[in-house]
Amino acid sequence: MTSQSQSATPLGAELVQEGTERAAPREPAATGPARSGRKAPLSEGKKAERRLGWLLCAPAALVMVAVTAYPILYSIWLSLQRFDLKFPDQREFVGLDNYVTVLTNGFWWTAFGVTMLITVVTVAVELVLGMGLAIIMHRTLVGRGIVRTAALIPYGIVTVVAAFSWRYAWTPGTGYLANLFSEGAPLTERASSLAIIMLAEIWKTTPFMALLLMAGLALVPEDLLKAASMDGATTWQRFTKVMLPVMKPAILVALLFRTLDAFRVFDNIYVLTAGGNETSSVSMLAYNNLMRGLNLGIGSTMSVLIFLTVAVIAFVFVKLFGTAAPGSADEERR
Amino acid sequence: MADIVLDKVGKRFPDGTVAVSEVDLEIADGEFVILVGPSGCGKSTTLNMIAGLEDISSGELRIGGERVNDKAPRDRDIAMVFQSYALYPNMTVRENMAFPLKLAKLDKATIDRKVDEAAKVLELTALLDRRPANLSGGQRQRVAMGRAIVRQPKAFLMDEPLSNLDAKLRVQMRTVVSRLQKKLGTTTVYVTHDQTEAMTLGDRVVIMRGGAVQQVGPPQELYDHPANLFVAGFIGSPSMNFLPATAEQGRLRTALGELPIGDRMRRELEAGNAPRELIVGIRPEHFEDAELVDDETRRRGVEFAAPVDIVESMGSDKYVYFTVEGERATAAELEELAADSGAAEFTGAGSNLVTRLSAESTVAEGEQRRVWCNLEKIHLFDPANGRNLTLHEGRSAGALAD
Repeated sequence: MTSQSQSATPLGAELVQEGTERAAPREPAATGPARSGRKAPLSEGKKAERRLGWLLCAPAALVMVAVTAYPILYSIWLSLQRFDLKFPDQREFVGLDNYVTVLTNGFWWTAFGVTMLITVVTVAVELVLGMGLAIIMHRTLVGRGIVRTAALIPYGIVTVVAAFSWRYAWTPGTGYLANLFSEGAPLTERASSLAIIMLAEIWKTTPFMALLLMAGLALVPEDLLKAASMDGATTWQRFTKVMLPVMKPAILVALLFRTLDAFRVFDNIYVLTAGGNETSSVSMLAYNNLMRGLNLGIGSTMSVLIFLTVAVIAFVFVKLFGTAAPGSADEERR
Repeated sequence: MADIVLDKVGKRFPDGTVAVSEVDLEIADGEFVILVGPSGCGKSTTLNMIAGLEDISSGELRIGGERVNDKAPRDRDIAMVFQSYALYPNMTVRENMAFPLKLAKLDKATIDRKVDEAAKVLELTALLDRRPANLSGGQRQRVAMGRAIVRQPKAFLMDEPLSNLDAKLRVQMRTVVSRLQKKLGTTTVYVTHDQTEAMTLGDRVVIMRGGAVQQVGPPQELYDHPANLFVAGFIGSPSMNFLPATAEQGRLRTALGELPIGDRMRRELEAGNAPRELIVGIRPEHFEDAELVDDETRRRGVEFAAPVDIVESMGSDKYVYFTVEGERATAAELEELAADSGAAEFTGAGSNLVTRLSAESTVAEGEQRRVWCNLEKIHLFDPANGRNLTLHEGRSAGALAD
């Protein structure tokens, strides 16, 4: 894909009509940064306007720097040092040594594998269930409010509270689920622990997925589905050939949100297994090193690695968005 | 190709509202039938019932002699063109048109051949690889038509297909639709709220109001012999003038003066069951500047004088608006028509008379002008039920008819 094709927005494509493809190069937005490069001196009014613009942006920009940019840069700085609060005297700049340590460590890769597994499985299951739920919420005619509220309840419960209720439910002897399904203690074995963690995650966040997908469903014009049924499509064909392609941007947004969230899974694991039996996620591992081990160097390195992974995931999704909008110029060139 | 028969077809929604009641209609094979009426008259619901997108509550629908009430849209073998065009945004023009064929599991070569043929007919060949987002309104409309014709269905259903186009393109596309339908000879049901489209396109026009059919017939017949006040007011632009009238001793007293009535009319009015208060309906073109009327013609009508309000010169003729004294005619049908055209809230003083005079007329705004009116073309309506009293065996011969 060329860099030029990335800049073409679906809106831009909308305007391209027969024979006008080469007409007028796309102007950047009137107040865009491109203008500031011009040599022409600014009038007094323009200057005042620009100053006002900066002033209006300043508070938000400062807050962003304070709460986002500073911690990120600081943790990158920390990750380049040997810095263990148990041995504060040995603090020293070690370059990328911490990264070598983490990336050659078995615990990290186990946690990474667990996180990936949880991410892929939960997001996939949530997508399917969420789509079903979204269609139910979208199509319900009677008691719409009740159906939607009921579907959203799990999402409204605090994750830690929900996690505890799952933990008690699976506790042998007292938990209703443990008594129902197994003889042993499911939270003490790796496979069943992971399954329960994923179940808790899915139960909790499917409504969120459904909510995002429902917004996408609302984008599918009723006429389109009617036209498809006139054209001879079965219900399933209407879903796969008309609904899904039109919803693709919404689906990608939902997947992006959920993937980023799922990759940072923490609460459920913390409460259910506390990372026992190799069920730690990378977030758990970073937390253990930072807060329990007080090893700021290694902990920060892990945080930065998580940050980078999340950034890569986001980047891949955003790349996909570029070609997602139906009829966009990008898709045309594909 | 097939005929479509609606046998007392009705639609009642769960909340009890009746959208369509007992529509009887026989659409012959290859016929072009227009369903027309103001918004909410049930025309789109009727079309959706034929399509299968809406369940039929009562009655029977037969396509090609076969009862299809309970068949899914995809088993009825009919194609539909939507007002919004409903093109699949993720598919190219070619894929859009091929979609119904692909679903019918035709082989690739046949699909390509049929799509190319249809594209040629609609001059879409150059656009086949574009996506709907990159097409103009007119082009999208043609793609929607293409998707309908490509699979040679038993019938076409069109739901206001031209309403989203600008005025000029709409007139142009009207002829395209008309030519296409004649060429293919496919039974077509076309829904519109535009009486001009109805008049110009259809073999037969079905006028609906409040879920019921008012009159069915060829456009000219509806124009010349409207069955009731609603049809008379709906068809024609500018629309028919309606004036209140009182029948007295064999004459009609109106704002235009006393009008004579023919023997048959008089007998009917004197029969007792006819009301004394009537509504006179006269089309704008049945007036003429009195100076331009020869003696022979003059005898067939009456003359009156009225102040000229506005003159609109159309080039070929002049629309002249006169102010006449007295109340406006009132009837439920007329109020509904006014509400539909959005003129309900606009009420000038007295009643307005729209006339269409020859271009040679020297009429000027503000003057008092003598106007001639053709009595042979006058309609009389019963304000209580809207019935056209001048209609005799389906024909209207004016108030003078013997």
